[in-house]
Amino acid sequence: MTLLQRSDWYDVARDTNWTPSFVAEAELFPSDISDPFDMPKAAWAEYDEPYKVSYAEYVKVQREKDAGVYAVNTAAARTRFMEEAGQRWHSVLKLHFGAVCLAESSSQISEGRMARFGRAPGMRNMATFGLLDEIRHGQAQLYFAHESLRYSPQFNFAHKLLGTQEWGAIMTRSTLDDVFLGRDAVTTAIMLTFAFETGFTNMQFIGLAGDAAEAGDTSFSNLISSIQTDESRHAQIGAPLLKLMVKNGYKAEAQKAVDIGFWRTYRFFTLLTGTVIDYFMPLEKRTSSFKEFMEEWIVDQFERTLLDMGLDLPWYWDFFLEDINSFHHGMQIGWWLYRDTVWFDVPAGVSPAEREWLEAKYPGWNDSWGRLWDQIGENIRAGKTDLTVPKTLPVVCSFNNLPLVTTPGKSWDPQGQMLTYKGKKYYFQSHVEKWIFEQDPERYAAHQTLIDQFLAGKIQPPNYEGALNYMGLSPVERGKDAENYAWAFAGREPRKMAAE
Amino acid sequence: MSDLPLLVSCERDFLVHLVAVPSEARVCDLIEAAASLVVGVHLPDMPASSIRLRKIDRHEALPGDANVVDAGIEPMDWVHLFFEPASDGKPLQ
Amino acid sequence: MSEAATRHEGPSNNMVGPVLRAGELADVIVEAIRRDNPDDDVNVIDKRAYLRVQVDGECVVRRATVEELLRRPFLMQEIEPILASFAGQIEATERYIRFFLDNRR
Repeated sequence: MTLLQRSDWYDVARDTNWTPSFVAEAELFPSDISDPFDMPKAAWAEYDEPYKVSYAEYVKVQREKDAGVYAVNTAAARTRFMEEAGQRWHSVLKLHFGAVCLAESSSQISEGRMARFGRAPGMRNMATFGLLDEIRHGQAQLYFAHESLRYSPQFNFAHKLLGTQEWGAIMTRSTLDDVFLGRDAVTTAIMLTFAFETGFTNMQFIGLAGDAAEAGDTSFSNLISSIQTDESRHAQIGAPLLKLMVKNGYKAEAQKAVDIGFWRTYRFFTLLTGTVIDYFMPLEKRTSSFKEFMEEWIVDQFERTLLDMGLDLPWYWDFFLEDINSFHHGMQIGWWLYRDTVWFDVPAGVSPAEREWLEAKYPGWNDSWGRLWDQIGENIRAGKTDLTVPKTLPVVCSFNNLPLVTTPGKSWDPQGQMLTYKGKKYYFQSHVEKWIFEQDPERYAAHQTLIDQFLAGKIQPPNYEGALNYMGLSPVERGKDAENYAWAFAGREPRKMAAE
Repeated sequence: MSDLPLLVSCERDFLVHLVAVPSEARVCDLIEAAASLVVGVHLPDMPASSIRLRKIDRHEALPGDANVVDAGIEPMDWVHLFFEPASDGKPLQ
Repeated sequence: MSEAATRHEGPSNNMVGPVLRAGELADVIVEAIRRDNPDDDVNVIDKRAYLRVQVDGECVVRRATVEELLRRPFLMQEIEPILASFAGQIEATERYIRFFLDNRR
């Protein structure tokens, strides 16, 4: 018996937009959770997913992907890679698993929402597969992290992090709530599948896979790049939607969702990917700088596609291009100074050779960020490591929950960073965060950052140690310098060290 | 917790600290408390006498011997440390 | 396989094509792309874990060409386990996959 080709039956089989008779259409697809713009049926009829797949094909291909991932992992387990990889690489893994494993659960809910409330049958089909994909991602990454528990209890944060009040957890939950969970099916498709998945996950799941392969971690490299092949398919939920929105007079709405989703996602990945690629990675294994990855994946690839959809570059484009030179350097020094507030040991990544690399990739680095590290290194060499331990919390952005930072020597922008709303003062990393907040203040105003929680008296005793306990970090889980301060002494003559 | 939680940044530094001072503190007490988090920590040592404080969106330094509340500082205001005399005659940040 | 420097031309570039997880099948797909786009310069950037294939404006890979190279039947979706990402838009059918731009700049 000859089977029909998929294209012979697909259009008929996917046409599930039946006319409801038990409930009204508006009850079946409430606009608040489905399509807030109430786009006409004729517009939705144009939705044609470009990356079609049948269930039989899906199962066959996914089985093959999983077989590959676990086979490589089994083979790699025999190489003793993890035992010999060193603390820096372990930190890369702990950070990745903590930030990503349970975030995959949020993606499952988002895909489920699009599978149920998308107005186009093709969108619902793709999201159904997307939901299955995200279950695979959550399970596979948790499995890998769990296998690593024998190397350090910090790997436990793959599962624990998002249930704590650790500041990175607050930031991650807040981002997921805004982009993944708290949106209707249309906006989710734009912010999650388009901005997040065709844009930034490439950096973390393919860019980092390149670095992982260089570092010798074939198993992790294989795992995350395999995950991205799912993303590559289901991320196409957003593209046909954007096209039909532009064509049918909803360009402004689509553009705004892209501009918001892109910026929120950018901050998340700057912290996660930017610091890892430019500081955590062993120098000799680095393939590109964070900025070069951004140029490859975001500037050349993602934004070009955005223009092809008929949209414009985000209004803050020039500021964004400038920002990729600086923000993550602030996050890195923040990770390091506040290392006891995170669940992995933080490499400073600023030995003399690494500083040379940073200066070459980011001209001017030594004169700005380098000067801070000069003083910190001097304190360490003088035996005053207590001076490298913070005494108070950094103030975090009311919107993105990350510490407010600026390049040393560069002015703050008070006008763009401050806002009083209903009598409360809000502070932002930049005028872009402030703009997003102003688009929908009621959505964001009641959010409690770590600082808000501290001021509300939730952290007791109200001091730094109290904050560490509040964040759920026991003394053995808290991060330390990943190399026991060796970087501060690298390249120095022993006698010179003694003299200092 | 003390009465007056504030945001404090510092010239040539990179972040904003949460600092709390009693409402009866003077501006110079606030300068001392805030500078101890940064000067000699992220930035080279500087004599305390060279450090001034202003509101982040104002240029003029607040008088060191004034009470913080009398100087117009309110809870969750953002204040900024800078050094005087600045090497090139004007504050960097 | 040639290795070329990454071209950063900003959002005005017209480069499209797949990003393939490195391996035997990726090498075959690259060869198929060279055959299926004979008039175009096919730029391949080797990042060890992945290959970025770049063609100006449009990049096609046909099932028949891959079958010829593999000397066995090939289903187009067999490419999915190595298709980590792509530049441009995609049209995936049973006979070919095409990466393209609606509006060249």
